[in-house]
Amino acid sequence: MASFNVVTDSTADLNTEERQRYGISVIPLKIQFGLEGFKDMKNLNQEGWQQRFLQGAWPTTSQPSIGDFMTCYDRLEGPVMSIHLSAGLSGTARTANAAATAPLLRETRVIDSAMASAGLAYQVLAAAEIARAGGTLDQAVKAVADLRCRTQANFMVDSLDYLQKGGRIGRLQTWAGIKLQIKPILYLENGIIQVKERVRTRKQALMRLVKLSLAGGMPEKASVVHFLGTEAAEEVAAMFKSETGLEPEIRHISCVLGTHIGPGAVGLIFLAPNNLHGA
Amino acid sequence: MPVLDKVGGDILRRSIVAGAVWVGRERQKIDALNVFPVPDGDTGTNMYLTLLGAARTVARRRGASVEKVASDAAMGALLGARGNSGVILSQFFHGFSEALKGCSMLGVRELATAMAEGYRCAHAAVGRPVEGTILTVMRRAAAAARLAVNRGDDMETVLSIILAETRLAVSETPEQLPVLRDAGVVDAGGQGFLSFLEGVWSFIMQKKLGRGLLSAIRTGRSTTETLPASVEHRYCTEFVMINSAVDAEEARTALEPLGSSLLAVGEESLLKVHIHTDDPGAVLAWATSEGELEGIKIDNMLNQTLKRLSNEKERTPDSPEKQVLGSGVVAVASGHGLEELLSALGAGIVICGGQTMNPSVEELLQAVEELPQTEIIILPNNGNIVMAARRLSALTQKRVRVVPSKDPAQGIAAMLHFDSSLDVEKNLEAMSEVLEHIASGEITKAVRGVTLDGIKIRKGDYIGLISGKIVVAGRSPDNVLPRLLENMAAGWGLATIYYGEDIDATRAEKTAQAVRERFPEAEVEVVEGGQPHYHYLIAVE
Repeated sequence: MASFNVVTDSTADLNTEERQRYGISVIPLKIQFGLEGFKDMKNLNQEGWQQRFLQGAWPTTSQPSIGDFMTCYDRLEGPVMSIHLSAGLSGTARTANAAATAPLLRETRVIDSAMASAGLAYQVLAAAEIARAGGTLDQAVKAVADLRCRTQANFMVDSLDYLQKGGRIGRLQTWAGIKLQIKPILYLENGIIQVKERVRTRKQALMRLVKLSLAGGMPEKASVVHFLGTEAAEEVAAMFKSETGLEPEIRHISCVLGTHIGPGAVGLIFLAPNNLHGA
Repeated sequence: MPVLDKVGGDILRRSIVAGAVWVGRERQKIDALNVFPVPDGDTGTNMYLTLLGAARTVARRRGASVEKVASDAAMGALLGARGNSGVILSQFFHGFSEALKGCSMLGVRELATAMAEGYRCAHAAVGRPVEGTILTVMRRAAAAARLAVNRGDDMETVLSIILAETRLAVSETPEQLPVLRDAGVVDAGGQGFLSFLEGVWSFIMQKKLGRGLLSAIRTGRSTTETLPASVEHRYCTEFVMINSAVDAEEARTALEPLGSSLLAVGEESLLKVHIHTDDPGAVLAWATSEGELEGIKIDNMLNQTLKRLSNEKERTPDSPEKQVLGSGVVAVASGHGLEELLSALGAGIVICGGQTMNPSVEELLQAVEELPQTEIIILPNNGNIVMAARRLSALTQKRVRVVPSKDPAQGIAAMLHFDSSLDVEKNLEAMSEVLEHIASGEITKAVRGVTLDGIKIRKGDYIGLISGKIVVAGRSPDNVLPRLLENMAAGWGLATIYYGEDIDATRAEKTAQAVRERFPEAEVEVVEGGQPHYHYLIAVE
């Protein structure tokens, strides 16, 4: 029996095996295609998203309601650690916090991961491991904070249209009106998407992702993540393996995050050996 | 006729004006002394505009001493300097004036010393001096002056010996520089220097320079022909049009005839216009008829620059609220596609210029000062502007670094790695590194027939150049393009083709398709450059 419960949301891109092994509760974000509403990764996966997208509908996304969190927390017994998608990208963590401060009978800690996808998964799985080993919430908060400082997320998008439509990118003014094919390399900085580099071709971009992951020394752990970009993800994984000898895991990005970065997006998320922000 | 012994401020002043006028008359002939049969010969124009800067400044200084005339001419030449030959000439004037500090009358000894110092400064400004260029000609002119003075000759004899030696030196440049011999021309810069001395000599001997010529120079009218537009356009005019009835393209069409360095960016709701003009009234009259105006700013660029330079010492840094952290970029390009692309990629100011119209040091300086940042990257995008750009550091308190891009295609590749939040040193490093991984080429029309490196070129042929060297020639730019790419070092994965003003989108796309078929592994992208003279600019990486 774990010493506390771990809750996260659908943007952590956990697979079924991970959810079941640790008994992690996953609250889905929401996605809307016209009049059709879906629960992210619960009744809509990447293929379903693509099918509807190709029919011409432009999806919109929303965070879970405060009620979704309260229902989930109520169902659980014992303390809760609720770790969520970067507050710089979504209001999910703030809503979770509001649900947690409502009069509840148990201790609940809400953590802004400042990350997404595998970067969020690293924190969730570390907390679950500590819970299973009988550790305390304080120990988990500390361990998760250490991971947060060491995680880097770089990714390439096929087109900036999706990020621009969703308004979820910083320092974008320099992009307006560029009539060149550019594959931007983006990264998460303090939970916000920023432009790291502007590369001309997909091939150059995929190579850069691998180079960037090795710049600070051999990563402790690495994940290739993608949204409808299996082929590119496999290329990155193969390049990473030939450089390091390590086989990175591959994760499917959730539909909600995918809506904002667009089909074809590929990321290399990794855990640097040392604290990136200095000790 | 009394023997001319010493020269006072007035004669020196009028000699410089006469020399400038002489180069003005000869400038097209000098422009034509181009090693390559490409339409970028502009040495004569550049030297003339540089000298015009000197002449304009001294034309106003009646009654000034030799020292004052020389230093004014040096400052004028420095601000007017365009192209490499112009920069070298301006440095000659600088050394010449330094040697005349405290001098009220110019005798033969002072002349010889000043010419030697002029040569020394010009030489120091060139990174890797080559024999058979304007520097060789200057050196021999200065040496001849020293020799004649040591022999005890009078001023007229000294001047005639200098002139004779300069002529000889120019005629011998093809023996020193094989590219000149192959092209059958003398060095254009050397010829420009000779023309200047010929003007001086003719004035001294015939005193032909009357009042009319002086006032013509003063008011900016040339006696022989009208001057290139940008020298005359003295007011920098800027404003924002709100809810205008015209778009950027239409604004450009309407304003084009009124000035130079024209920029119109944005949309109908918010259209920003920048133009250098002599008639800000006409510009504003047009604009008010098309929309509501805001943020109107009119500056007298010439006065501004002169004031700034004379106040150099008292100048305090810009007020803190005006300063912006990080770096800004000043780029040079012509062709609306290229200019827009550079702006979109983050260049704060794009000066219209390039192959046939090199911006002066003054124009570059103006742009550097205009940007809110104190750290500035310059993208000259032309080998002939690099030197002028490098002179800026000495003229401004801002930290200026030059990324030596040789053409706009390189400049655009470098801009992709510009980060406005970083300082100039980091940007310089990232942007310069890009230039090592990119190769570029260009296609233009030969302006005369010639055989170079075993390639026979007929007038009107299209020639493909890589790093300024002709590698292919043919009857159509579209056929030359794939062959040019075959001559690029192998291993590239992306070719970007910028088509010029003489090519339309359909034709460019058709040519690109031929390239794709020839290089099926590579990515090929077509972008409208709109550049003059060059039918295609190509970058491969």
